[in-house]
Amino acid sequence: MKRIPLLFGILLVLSGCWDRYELEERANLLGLAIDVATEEDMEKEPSVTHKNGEFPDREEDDYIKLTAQISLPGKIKLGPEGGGGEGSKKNAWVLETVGHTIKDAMANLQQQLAEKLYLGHVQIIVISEEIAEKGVTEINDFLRRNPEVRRTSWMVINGGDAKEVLEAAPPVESVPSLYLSNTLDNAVRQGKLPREYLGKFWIDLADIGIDPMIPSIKVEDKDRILVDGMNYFKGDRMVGKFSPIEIGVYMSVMGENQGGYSYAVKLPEEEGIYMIKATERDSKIMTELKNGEPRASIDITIDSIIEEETKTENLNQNTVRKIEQEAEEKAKKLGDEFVKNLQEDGSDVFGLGARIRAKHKNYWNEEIKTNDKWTETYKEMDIKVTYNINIKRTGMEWK
Amino acid sequence: MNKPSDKVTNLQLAFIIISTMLGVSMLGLTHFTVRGAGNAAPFASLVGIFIAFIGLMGYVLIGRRFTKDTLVGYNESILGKPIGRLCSFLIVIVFLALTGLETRQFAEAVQGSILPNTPMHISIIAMILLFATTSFQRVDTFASIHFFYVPLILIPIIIVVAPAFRDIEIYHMTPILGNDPTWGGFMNGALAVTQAIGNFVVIAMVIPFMKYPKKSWKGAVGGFWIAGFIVIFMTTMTVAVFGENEIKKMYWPLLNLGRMITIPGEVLSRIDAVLLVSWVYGVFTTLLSYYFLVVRGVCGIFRFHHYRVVSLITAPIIYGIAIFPRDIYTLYDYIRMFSSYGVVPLLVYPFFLLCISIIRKKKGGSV
Repeated sequence: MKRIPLLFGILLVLSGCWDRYELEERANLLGLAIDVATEEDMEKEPSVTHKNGEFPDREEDDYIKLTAQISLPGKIKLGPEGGGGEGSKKNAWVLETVGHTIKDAMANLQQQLAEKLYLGHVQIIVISEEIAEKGVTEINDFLRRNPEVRRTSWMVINGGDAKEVLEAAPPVESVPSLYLSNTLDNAVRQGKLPREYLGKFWIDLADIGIDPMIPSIKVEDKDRILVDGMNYFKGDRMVGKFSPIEIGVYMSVMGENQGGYSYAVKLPEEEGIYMIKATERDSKIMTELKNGEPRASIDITIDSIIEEETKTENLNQNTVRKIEQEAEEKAKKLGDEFVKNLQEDGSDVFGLGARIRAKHKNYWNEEIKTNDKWTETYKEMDIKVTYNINIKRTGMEWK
Repeated sequence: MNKPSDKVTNLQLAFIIISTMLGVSMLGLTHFTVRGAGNAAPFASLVGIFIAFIGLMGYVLIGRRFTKDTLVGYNESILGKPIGRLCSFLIVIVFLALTGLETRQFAEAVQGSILPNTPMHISIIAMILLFATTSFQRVDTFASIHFFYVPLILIPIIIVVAPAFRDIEIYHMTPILGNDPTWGGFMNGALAVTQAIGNFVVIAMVIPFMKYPKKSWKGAVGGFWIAGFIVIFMTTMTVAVFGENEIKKMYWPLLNLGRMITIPGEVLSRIDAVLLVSWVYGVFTTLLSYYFLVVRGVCGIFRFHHYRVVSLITAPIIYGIAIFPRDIYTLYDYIRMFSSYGVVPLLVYPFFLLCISIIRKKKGGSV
């Protein structure tokens, strides 16, 4: 009997329910979109983290428009009855607020909601090109600091308006943001996108001698997204964009499997057009110093298959060899141009700087040391890429 | 005081060492190693572990010489009563402070990452209640508690960290000696590891209760290297995935590693929870060891055998120490202070004792 109070005490202390927030008391953020807000938008700004007009600020037009897609389980009906062409729009709530920083905007958002904002389910963070060009360090600080944000969610750039991505309502899935992030996850599985999710992006951003990149997307017909290439950065500012086929080149250079992109090849003296698809990529990135100048040579081996043959029908061992050669030439042309563009913009997405730092310690310590110096050297650097394409099989057709 | 059932086996000793070494510092250790040694962190860890190993051998050797005495016992018989007691008292103070500070570190990590609204005092009190109510048990119970928890600590860590293999970048790890190595920085990184794992000193309290104290080195060395391997494995993986600069930005690199991992097949999407659960076991067993040393130490100094009373009286002091640092930066300052001026000298201490005992021709069992 003496122990009963003790047992109650233990029950009280060890139950661990202090942080209990039932699912229906949470506003689950599924997607975030970050745009630049105009003066006009800012007029709606409430005084939550500071008095109006008294933000201890920097530049005038540094305003952020935050759009959040929120799901309220138990309040907005989820589930399969959304079918019948209505789309998934009604399953999630898209809200828009403004603020000076991300946290400021989040505080404004919380002020209008009954439920507690929860970031543990954020699948996708869309930023507009304009924000990315201004630099992403500021917007990432809040996300890095908050323990709820997953490092496996995606950060993407939408060309125009980031907000419109969250308004896209796919008719097939009950939660729109989930469909969008699945599009990206599956693109990775099919070898169409490198694993450049938020956590990886932060690592590349912090590293010296490598520049980060994030996927670029485009909204199609207001109900789905197209993976439109990658946006590459120099430091924390976006400087350019490359197309999906160049993602294929990038992934070949990095030797990332599996292969996913198909490429159209035409033999010079023939009519026929062949679609070949990379299935396995392998690459060796070698860096060396010659006369005190860094050089890189990249040997790429791609195993591929023929997926389609049009306007002709004479596939045999001989033609396959010719196609391989032609494909190698084409790939080289494509690749060289790609690398040249990156060099012109000073964006080292391959991490050649990091490799040189890792391998040629003395050279790095004496000559480079900083990111800026590396960018200069990188622009002038000699990068040689060689391709070796092997066509392994041709599908179910002999000829 | 030595009941016949109070016998610890070599395997149990090994498990005590493993679960004591893997503790609170697991989550944040890499940060300190990298801050000193840069991307030479894995190598620095190895050096740090070797330094700690020397200390371990010291305690094993002295344990062989004094098979019936605990640390407090041979302190007195080697150094004489007043000085011996003073030394024991200082050691107890160091561990008392460390128990409090590490409890606070545990509470900070919990609050910063999983339970932001729970008052920190609750986490601290819950943890103190746990180890205070288990620390006054007999030595074999103490060994069994460790024995029970070790698999729960080791298996999740390996399962959780192993999938990170596909995210590693070789260029994060080379050059192995770091890009711009300085001797001081490298040793700082190495000593951070030594300080974090030097807490195996608790075995000095356990060896006299072993079945064959003379053979304690078998268990001690085995356990030490298993735990050492885990430390190197964790450091290498975090450095290989994140790289130097990213790690310097984080408080708890290992936790962030857990947050980045997706298990193939997407069975579970937030693996960090598994990691945290096993970390909490690690924290509990480590703090239990500290507190066990404190309780047994106090009782040894004052020739007092009511462990329960000491354990309950000391608990509020631990609480006081835990809430003392005013913020997380001061907390880490204190921890580093106590572990560099407390734990590291403790690793040299047994050799000092050995020398004196040889000079004074003191041998075990002469109590």
